[in-house]
Amino acid sequence: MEKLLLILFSLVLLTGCMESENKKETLVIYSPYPKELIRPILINFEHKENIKIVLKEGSTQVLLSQIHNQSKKNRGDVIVGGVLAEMIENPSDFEHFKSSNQGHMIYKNQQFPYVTDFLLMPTVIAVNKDLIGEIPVKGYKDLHSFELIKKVAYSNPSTTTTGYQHMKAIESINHNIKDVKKFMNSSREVQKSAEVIDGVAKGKFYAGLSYELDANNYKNKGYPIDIVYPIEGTMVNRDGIALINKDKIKPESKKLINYLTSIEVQKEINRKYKLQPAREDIKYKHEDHKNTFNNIYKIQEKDISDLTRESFLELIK
Amino acid sequence: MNEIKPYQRKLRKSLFISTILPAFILIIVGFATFYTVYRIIEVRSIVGNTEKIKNILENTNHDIKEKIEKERLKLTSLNPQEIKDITEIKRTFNNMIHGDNDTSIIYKLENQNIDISNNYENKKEEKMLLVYNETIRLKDGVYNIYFYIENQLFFNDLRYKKNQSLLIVDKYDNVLFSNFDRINYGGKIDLSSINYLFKREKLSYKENEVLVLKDMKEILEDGMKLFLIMLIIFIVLMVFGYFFSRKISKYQTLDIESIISNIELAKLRKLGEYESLATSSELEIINHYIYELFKSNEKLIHSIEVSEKSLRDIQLKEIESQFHPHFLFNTMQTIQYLILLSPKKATDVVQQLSDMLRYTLRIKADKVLIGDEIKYIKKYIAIQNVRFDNNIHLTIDIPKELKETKIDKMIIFPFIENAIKHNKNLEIIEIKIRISSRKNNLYILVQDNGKGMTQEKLIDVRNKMLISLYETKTLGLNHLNNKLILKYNRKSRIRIFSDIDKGTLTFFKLSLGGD
Repeated sequence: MEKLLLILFSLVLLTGCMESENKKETLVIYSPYPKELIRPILINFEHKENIKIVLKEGSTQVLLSQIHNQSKKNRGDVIVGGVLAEMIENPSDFEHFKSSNQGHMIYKNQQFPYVTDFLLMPTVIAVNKDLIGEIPVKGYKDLHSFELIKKVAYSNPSTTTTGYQHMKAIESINHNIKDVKKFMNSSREVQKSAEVIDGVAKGKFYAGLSYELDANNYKNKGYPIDIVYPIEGTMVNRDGIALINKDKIKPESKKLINYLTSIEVQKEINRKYKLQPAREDIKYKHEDHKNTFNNIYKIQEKDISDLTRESFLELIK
Repeated sequence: MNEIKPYQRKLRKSLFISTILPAFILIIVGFATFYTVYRIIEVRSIVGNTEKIKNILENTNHDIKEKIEKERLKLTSLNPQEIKDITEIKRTFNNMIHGDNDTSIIYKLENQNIDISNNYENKKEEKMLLVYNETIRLKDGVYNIYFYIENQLFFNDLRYKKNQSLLIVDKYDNVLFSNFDRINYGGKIDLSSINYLFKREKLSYKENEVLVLKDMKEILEDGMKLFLIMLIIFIVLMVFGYFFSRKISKYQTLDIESIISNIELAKLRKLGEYESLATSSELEIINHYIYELFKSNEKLIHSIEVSEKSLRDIQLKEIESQFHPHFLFNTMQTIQYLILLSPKKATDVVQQLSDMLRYTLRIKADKVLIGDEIKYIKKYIAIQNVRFDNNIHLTIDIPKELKETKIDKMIIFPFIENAIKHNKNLEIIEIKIRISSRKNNLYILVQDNGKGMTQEKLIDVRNKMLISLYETKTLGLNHLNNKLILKYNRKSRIRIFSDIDKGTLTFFKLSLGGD
């Protein structure tokens, strides 16, 4: 009997040991990007560095809030995606880091020492071709037309980066906050940026304020989407990466930032998803894509309101 | 493995059953209850969901129908062949389908030339639920218009959260829509399997029925897997229970074993000094009692052994006394000289002695007739009178009817023997035997006219009569006295009265009712 108990005890012990052996080093990554975009990139990194990655999804604001509310011991490691330079309200949650690829970036200088550019994301007007008919939509001003009253959607600027960036773009045209309010009054507000593009694609709205990645996704699925880069100027989001400030920063976190800004990954996101890389040395697979991005009129830094996010949101309320 | 004793086996069995049986009953009852409750909850859920889906479908149908009616006039003026009108047609239909945020609807307008739809992802029609269709006249001709539910929040919840399936069937049980993997679009439903729980409701807008179904097969399979796991656990539990109950029964009966072992030792009279049990419990009382019992038993056995020895001695002495060796010797001497002097007398003495010996040796009964006992005494006196020249006078006073009464053999004789023994130097020895009866008692009195005893001697004699039956070296009156007390009662004790030079009187009474 004693022998039997001994064997059972040994088995339990062995199972415990096996479980502990299975525990690998883990990196926790936060990202607002759709899974189909970010997962393949992270999987490659897992194999390359032999490290397990746990992905936490959500909107940029929700993820930043999660990081802020977690203790330094329990926080994840890196946040990838979102207009971090605009959205980060607590810089102390992040660590200063300059990637080894910074010299190859389009924007030579980091906006903040804790944010590294990942990709450039133009904000666009998505138009439903089936419904828009002959109503011209070339820029923000066209969205005020009588036929489009309450038929244009935008996402809540207080809770979504897309909505906020678009509102800043509208403000930058005439540097008049009233333009923003006028637009908001004549359009329909939804809570998530995904609802905008979904609503436009499925005919609920004629047009919507979205960004290039989402619009392209629906277009590629077969929906009648036209991507319009506003003639008044296109706000280009600088989607960033930031190293989270925590008790013990893993060397793999820094390796990941270098990996994400490497020529190999930047090329891949352009090739596979037709996204604008943050690096300047990428040879575009689709020349027209390069031309489109180069030719669009981008809102200049100087034209963008320097109001803080809080103040801006307060003004457009 | 040590041999297990029957009572340990019983204890083990009880322990085993008390461990295993509740577990077994719990598993069975648990499963039955779980399945029944699960079934009841599911049936209620299905009934509610069927009603809700029916309402969703009927409301959607009604909503679209109303909107079509509202736009019918406008639609008849539109020509799907013209690009401008196509946009308006699409706007009109889009306007119709975006009433409810929870429901995503695909429309399709078609004739042989034109196909207008918002089915941009080219979803198959059989994967969508047709909620409304009709033939509509547009400017350039007649078109069929279809509205399908492509996605519905509650339908999704039903399928993925509640694991219930939705089917639409016509009155012939043909499947018009199904999101259930086992029953496909275009097939017939067969719901005879016991695995299915379902509810069907007739839709008001067509002769179709909505059917919500739950396939219990997976639940039953999961239940069976769980049951098998439980069964394996149960078997492991049984094995453990078997070993543990064996161990526990042995451990719990250690003290009982110890007691049994003590009893065995006590039986063999090898139990040593008192030893308490390993654990303190009520069993200690029994253990203690066994030692006490053993001790008192040992005492008793010792006492019996002593008594038996004494008894054997007494029996020997009794035989010896019955044989009267001195009397025999003396009588043989008398016969010896009588042979020379008076052969006839010698013959008489031999005859009498022979009668006496026959009486003594041949009659084995404890009880004899008073008459026979008296005859024996008379023969004894007669032989003694030959020796003592007829100076022993024996008087017997017994009612005739008492001679047939039974009395203990040789119960009077010792008094006669004593009277002669202590008075043999007297010229005349008068001995009187008187036996009478009253109130069922026999009173026996032997009196002589001999030397008698001093008061001191009398007290001494009386005291000696109280000495234990077994402690006497010779069979004196104390032996007779104790025998009478034991056989009858204390009232039958011998009473001795004596006065110096006046003689001695002994008296005792026997109950005629028997001993």
